[in-house]
Amino acid sequence: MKKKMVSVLLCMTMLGTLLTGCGSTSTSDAASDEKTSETAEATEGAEASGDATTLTITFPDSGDTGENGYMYNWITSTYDAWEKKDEVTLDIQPVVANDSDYFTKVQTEMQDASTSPDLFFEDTFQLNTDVAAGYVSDITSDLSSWDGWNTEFIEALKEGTKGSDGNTYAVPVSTDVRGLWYNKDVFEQAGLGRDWQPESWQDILDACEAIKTNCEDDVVPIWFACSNTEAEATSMNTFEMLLYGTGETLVDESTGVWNVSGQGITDALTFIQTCKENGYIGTLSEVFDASDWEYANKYMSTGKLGMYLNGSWGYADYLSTGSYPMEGYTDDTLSDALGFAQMPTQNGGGYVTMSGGWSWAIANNSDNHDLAFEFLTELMKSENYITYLVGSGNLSTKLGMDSFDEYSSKLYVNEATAMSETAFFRPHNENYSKVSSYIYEMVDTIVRNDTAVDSALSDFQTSVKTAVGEENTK
Amino acid sequence: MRKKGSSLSKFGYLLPAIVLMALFFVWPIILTIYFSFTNLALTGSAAANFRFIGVENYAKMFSDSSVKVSLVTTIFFVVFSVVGQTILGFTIAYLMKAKNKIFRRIVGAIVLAGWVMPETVAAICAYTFMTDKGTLNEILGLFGIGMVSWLFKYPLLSVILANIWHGTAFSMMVYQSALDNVPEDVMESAKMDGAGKLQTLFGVTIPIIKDTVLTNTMLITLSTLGTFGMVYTMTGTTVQTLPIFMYMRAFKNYELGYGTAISMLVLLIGAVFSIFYVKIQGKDMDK
Repeated sequence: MKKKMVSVLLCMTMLGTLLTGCGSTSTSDAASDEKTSETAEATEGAEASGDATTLTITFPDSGDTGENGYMYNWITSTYDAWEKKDEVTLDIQPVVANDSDYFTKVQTEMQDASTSPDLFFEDTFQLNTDVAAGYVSDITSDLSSWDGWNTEFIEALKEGTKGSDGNTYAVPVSTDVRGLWYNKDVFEQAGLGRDWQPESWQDILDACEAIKTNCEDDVVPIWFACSNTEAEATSMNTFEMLLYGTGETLVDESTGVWNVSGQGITDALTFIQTCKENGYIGTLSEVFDASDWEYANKYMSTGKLGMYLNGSWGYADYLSTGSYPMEGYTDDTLSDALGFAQMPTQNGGGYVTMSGGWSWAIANNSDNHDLAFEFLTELMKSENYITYLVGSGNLSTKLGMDSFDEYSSKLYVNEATAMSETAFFRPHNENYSKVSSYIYEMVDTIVRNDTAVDSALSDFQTSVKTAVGEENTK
Repeated sequence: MRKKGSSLSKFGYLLPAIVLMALFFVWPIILTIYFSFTNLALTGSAAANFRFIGVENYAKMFSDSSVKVSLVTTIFFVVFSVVGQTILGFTIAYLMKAKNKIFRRIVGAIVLAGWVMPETVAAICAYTFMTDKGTLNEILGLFGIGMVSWLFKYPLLSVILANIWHGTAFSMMVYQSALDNVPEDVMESAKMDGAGKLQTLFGVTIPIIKDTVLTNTMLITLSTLGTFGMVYTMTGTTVQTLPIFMYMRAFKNYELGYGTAISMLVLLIGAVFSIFYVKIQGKDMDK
């Protein structure tokens, strides 16, 4: 009898665990379904009677910051000051996921009118492929009647949100550049001085060697994204920063022909391989960890990392408000500890940087196109937009934002702005995201498995040729 | 007449189940088969121009060298996981038979703990155990063994061990109930005939529970074949078993059609294993 009771109890615990497991997912599913159906109902109702309309806004919230996040603040404070506040209800849907999973989720949602958001935050590199899929609404005609667009936005960045048909599909919200963050204490210890600006790839390798020789064994000379989990960061922050420094580009924008066999590709991969073979990069298990940047930031803030090839937003982690405050320094003295050097071209003679950024786009399946656009223009009003700029650490896409002290007094903003003037953009080609996925797989295998450059490259060529058609490669 | 009526009512009772199976099981499979012959994509112009492309995805699969690698990885993962779970599960069940109740309860609960946890939780436990600064390395450190990057240097071994730990309890329970049902008199007569412990085990006990062994092996083979959460949580995309590879192609390279074609390969492997087990079992029954 006793035995039976125990086994019944065990079974119940087991079932309980299973059910709670299922239960929590199904409740959240139900909740989101409810939300969507509410939205749908509200929209239908509005069309019929002119009652309150619901506007759905979605964006990635990888840090799970919820209502404390700067995106959330930006949206709610804009809404609170909006004159149409009483007529429109906002449904804010942050997606707690990394960027790559966020894209997948939004793409899936946009396929159907009942789940599609109205306004969504879009990485500009993803825009062209989503435009080709028919997910994104053309806003060219809306823009022509918006004065702010014609006078306030940086011309060069407007190019970044155009589709291959020349129409504009999104409004740029942020831009950024990439360069080498370096720890001045480590550099001084290595005998390189506190101020450093490499003039060629060889200078970078020499600095790595100096750090390896002169600093303690646990100091990592260089960190860069090189894994599948870093995905787009591996392609853009690492591979393309090297490739564009060889004078080659990924795609010929005028013909749409992809570069798969240039010497620059081999050289870029060889540089990465050299760094690995000479032991300049960190412990592989940490470099390939799903959150490898946390190791990089931890080491940078504790004087255990020499340089980090990363974006202009990178310093924010080392502030007292960041996750890895720089040890021994305050926010005011951070620039004494951390330098931001330009990435040199392969053999000297100049610098290179890649520019990316995010934008607001309207889904094709949105029921409230005009209203979504109107709210977008509200978000981009300088007094609202400043919340985003300060929170994200990104560079402004609008002129005149430096009249706000919170923005112009930000660290490194001048260095980054100067770099952005000669920045390259990723290809405006719907196949870019796919090619990018093959790029990061290629870089990953070279570092992870010591795959020879030739063999990784030939796999890459095969994949790209099947993906974009052999006639579109050279 | 009466006979016909009864078969009709039998069918009537079955109908709800059949409808449910058809709707939630057969229909998705048919759709998946169909999608594997299309250019279904998550984004890009292919997403806007959905069309039938014949065997293109399958042709691509045969020329894709990563498919071969992940096929081999999958087979290693499945075979070692299944063998490990079966042997360990059976051994625990056998050793616990006829032991003191308190002992049985304690050991049973400990083994079950690995199984009752949701897959992701079990995976995170295994991850924290085997990660660079994890428990395993701490323990090894006590014996003066330096740090080993288990998850990075031996990722396949790590996920196999974790999977065995997670799944052993299931085999153990199945074998416990099977062993409890081995008739005492058979065992006694074997003893009286002078059979030793090992002889009894291999000559009497295992032949009696053979069907259970086969069914259990088939069940865990099929569930191991589809394992995603355990592998992905522990090693990301390092160990590219077919489910992981399928996810990469479908959701990272945006080629859903190709991803479904790979899933058909998983289905095929599952079918081959099942046919193999059913054949063995059938042969035995004929006797």
